[in-house]
Amino acid sequence: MTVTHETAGATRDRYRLPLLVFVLVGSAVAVGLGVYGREHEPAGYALNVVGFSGPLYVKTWLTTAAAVLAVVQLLTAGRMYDAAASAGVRTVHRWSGRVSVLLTVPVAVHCLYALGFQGGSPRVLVHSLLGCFLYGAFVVKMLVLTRRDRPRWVVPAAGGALFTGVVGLWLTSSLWVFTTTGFHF
Amino acid sequence: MSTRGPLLTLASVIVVAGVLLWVNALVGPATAPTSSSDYSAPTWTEPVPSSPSPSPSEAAPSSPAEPTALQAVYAGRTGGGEATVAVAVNGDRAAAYLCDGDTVETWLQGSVTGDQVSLTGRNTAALTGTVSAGTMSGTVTTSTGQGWPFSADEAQPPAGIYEARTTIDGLATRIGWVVLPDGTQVGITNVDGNRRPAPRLDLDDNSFTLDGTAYEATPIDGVATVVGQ
Repeated sequence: MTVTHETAGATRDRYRLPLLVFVLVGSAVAVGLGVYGREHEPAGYALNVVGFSGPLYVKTWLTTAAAVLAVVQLLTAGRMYDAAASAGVRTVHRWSGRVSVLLTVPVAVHCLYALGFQGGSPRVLVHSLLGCFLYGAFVVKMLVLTRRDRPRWVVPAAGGALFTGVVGLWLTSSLWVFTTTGFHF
Repeated sequence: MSTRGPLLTLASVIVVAGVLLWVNALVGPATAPTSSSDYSAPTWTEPVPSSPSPSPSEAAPSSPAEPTALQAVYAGRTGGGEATVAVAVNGDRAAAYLCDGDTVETWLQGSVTGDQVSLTGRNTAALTGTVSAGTMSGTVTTSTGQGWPFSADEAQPPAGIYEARTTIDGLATRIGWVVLPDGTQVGITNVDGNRRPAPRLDLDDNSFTLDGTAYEATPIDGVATVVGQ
């Protein structure tokens, strides 16, 4: 037991500086996105995909798909530490995460480029803040994963932040569109 | 694998975002609407009546209800009748809008020194003029580089500049009108850089209808922020 504790303590101490750097980089990304969104002159562009009624619904459904994959992430995350879990579960976890975050990129680019960081209503303010937070958390999680000598709590904490971000963003955008403008493609 | 994978994921996200922004930048500058950076209408399609921005720079009284001696609007046309021009003056500040009612529009803002006005806008946009006996005359250059002489007479409301901002299907939309002293309206709807003639503005209550939804336009006075940073 004593040995285990010392090892855990040593891991924690050795990891303290890298973790601080990772979190600072993620924070810088989040703040940078917010400043860009606030200072950049909103200038729209048409992201349209055949089959959807307009750019609004392209964004809405991309976000919905990302949120569904985020739930897959949550369900498979615990199995990443299960030695008995099949390699397939790990593959599903990694690729659902990659696809999920890539689906959000066109949405976020449109939000930032065409609309910017706004605070006109609580929904819009929360959405703007979460959007910046999400990519900060994403950067932290990717950086955290690059080192194997990390304490066990770090990845679940970063993953939890990411999941919260995606679900919060979905609630403040897609759900709002579905309930106010209609549930269709 | 477990150390390179996350970095590759991170890199691919950055690359995708970069490519999308690059495409935007290629498409953007020629067509991007000249909206202000502190434009804070709610996102997406929320049908707001007009720009509800609470920011200090836009909190200026835009109602023409209490004109002061320094507050005036000049409205007229370019020399060859290519476009209409209106300049709103309030104290030492001025805002202007040039519009041909079809595809050419330019927002400008600047300052007033004595009887001289000097305004600038996006890219090449500029307007200089001299006020003499209730008429402003000078030259105006659009953001696409077309330059014309213009002459604009001091006018009473409802003549002047009107603006509305909203978001239609996720696209930033800005509508501007020049209203001339004889009641002629010349306006452009700019949806996502695509310009078309503006809907008719009801000058009794500044309302208009776009794609079946009713909105309200705001009269622009000299201290309004009409050009983004």
